[in-house]
Amino acid sequence: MPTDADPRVPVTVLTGFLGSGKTTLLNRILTEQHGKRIAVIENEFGEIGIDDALVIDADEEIFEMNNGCICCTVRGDLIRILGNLMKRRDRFDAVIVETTGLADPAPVAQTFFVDEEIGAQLALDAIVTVVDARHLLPHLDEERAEGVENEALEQIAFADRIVVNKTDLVSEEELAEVEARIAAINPLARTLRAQYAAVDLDEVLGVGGFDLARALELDPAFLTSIDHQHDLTVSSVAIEMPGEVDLDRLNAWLGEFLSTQAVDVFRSKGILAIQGDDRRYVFQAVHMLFDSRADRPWAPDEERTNRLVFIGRNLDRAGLERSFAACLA
Amino acid sequence: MPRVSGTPASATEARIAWSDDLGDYVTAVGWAADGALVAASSLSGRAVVLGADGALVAELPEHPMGALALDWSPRAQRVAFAGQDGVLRIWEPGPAPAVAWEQPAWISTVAWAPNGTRLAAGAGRTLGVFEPDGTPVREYPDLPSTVADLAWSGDSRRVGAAVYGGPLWFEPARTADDAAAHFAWTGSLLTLTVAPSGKWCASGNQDRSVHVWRLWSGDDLQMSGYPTKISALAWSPSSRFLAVGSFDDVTLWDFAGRGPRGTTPRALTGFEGAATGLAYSTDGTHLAATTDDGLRVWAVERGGGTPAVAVEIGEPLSTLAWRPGCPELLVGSAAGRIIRVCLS
Repeated sequence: MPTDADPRVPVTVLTGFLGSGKTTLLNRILTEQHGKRIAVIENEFGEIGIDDALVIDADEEIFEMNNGCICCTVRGDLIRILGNLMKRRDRFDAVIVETTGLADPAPVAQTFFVDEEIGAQLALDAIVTVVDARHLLPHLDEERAEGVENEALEQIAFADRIVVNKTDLVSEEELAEVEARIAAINPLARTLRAQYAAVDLDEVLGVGGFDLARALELDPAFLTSIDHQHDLTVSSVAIEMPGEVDLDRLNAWLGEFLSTQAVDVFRSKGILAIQGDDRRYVFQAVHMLFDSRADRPWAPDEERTNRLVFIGRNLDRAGLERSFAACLA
Repeated sequence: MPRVSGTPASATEARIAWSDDLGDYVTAVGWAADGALVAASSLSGRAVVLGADGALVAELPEHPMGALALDWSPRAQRVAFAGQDGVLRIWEPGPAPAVAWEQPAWISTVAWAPNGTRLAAGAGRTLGVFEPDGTPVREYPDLPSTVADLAWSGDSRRVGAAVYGGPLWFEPARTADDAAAHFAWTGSLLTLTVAPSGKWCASGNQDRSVHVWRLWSGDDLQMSGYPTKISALAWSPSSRFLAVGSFDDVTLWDFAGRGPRGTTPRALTGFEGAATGLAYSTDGTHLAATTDDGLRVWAVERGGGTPAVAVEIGEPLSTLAWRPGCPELLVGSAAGRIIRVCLS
């Protein structure tokens, strides 16, 4: 699965509640990807017994890297396990990290940004979240005490792919409602319907969910379609503004925004037109950990425009639009 | 420390005496205190004891998924091996060693007390302490995180566990199960080392910093701003210098007088990439580093930052150990070779 563009070994993070079908999907991947060398890092003792796969049990150890900032929490156990794995002479084609049902996906994702040794050899490919079509809405609506995370909500907010499993157990209307709720929380993720976790594996493995070049192939219609939202604690804000931005002002704004609101902003992605540069810039972030780089040149007849999507809690759309507009050159 | 006769003030040449292939990444190498034997461990699972001439003396049972750590007793021909399989064995000349400890979590660090009377091993979040023959002495479970490294105090009374939240020091002779000392600091420790003087301990950290504590007041200082996480540290035998392995250089902090606070470290250069291992020769005249770029040896008593000896091995190196009292090294490579290098 490593591509010409990126020789690093792709890592898929599999999240989902107990009973959602996460382990079924994992077993399907290991069975159907016969011949590929896959390493699986598990946090829950599963019932995986596939000869080709190397299964390692991990003991979730969450570390704060920077004076207790939650955005800089990483999985210390993953750093150690993956570090050891990548030193071996026999290399793996893919790594799958299965998290516990109640895990916050952020520390897993952030591990790949924070540790230079891991980041040099492994590339986070996608966060895949499996949900049970029958139980998702009650989980999302569960009342939580102030300050207590709703894990189901976070697992959807962080995902690049969402497998809506057990669709045979709900009506078409219920399914449509589930998908609408998912889209309202995370319009960037692709939703896949499944029974018995049977999905086209090309849709969940090697998808480049964290690939900057592909991060923002958002079509404009899709951006406008996410405007009508319920009053959700976790939602998304999409901004599209034609024109070119001033790099210094943009950096100052993004730095300020991500550092002050990092706790609330789960994922963000964007394509930017920078004044004085004929290339597109793509960026993406998990909380405040941020990665950006130059992409292809703008086509001669292509309108220079900026597109950004933020997924998070209590996002202030008007404020975001106003402050981003101030970055325009 | 007196200069060992025959050790050149500055080595200028290196010769490879022999090399051997262990099949995969070499995780640790070491010399017995008398310099007559060496040991090496590899991710291939092999744990071996060889003569100084390279002849195989003992092949221990394989550690499936990798032998991760070894340490020679400072006082005897006795070496502890541990691995990913959670198994600890202590080898001595004679019959094949029994399993001293078997844990569900892997063991990636083992350390003998300086007086050779106790061995410590970290398996996941559990610290175990043993007699030289492997008899269990104490077990400290449920530490805040996996034990990343272990270091004994100079008087062999306390063993420090590098865990998240700062080093925890246990005193196996005490009946209490709690830590005798804790230097609280929010961060993930990767390596822990006590100065030979027994006055300081230093940790290399995931957050690209080095933290130093005074034993036992806990007064501390921190060196931050390194380009990578820090996993290679070495104190000079006189305890005056702390060497820190980083990317493209090794820095030397001077603890003379009022200490390194507010000072600029000396930089030792001459390689590209990561410094994976660091060790001083027993007389303190030379500092050696295994790097992505080969072996580098600096004659540290002279000024300047360029290496006195650079040995291109043609593959990234992973770990090293000096032969006690001799200008000789055993180095391990990422590709699985162990190489005995003689300096002159």
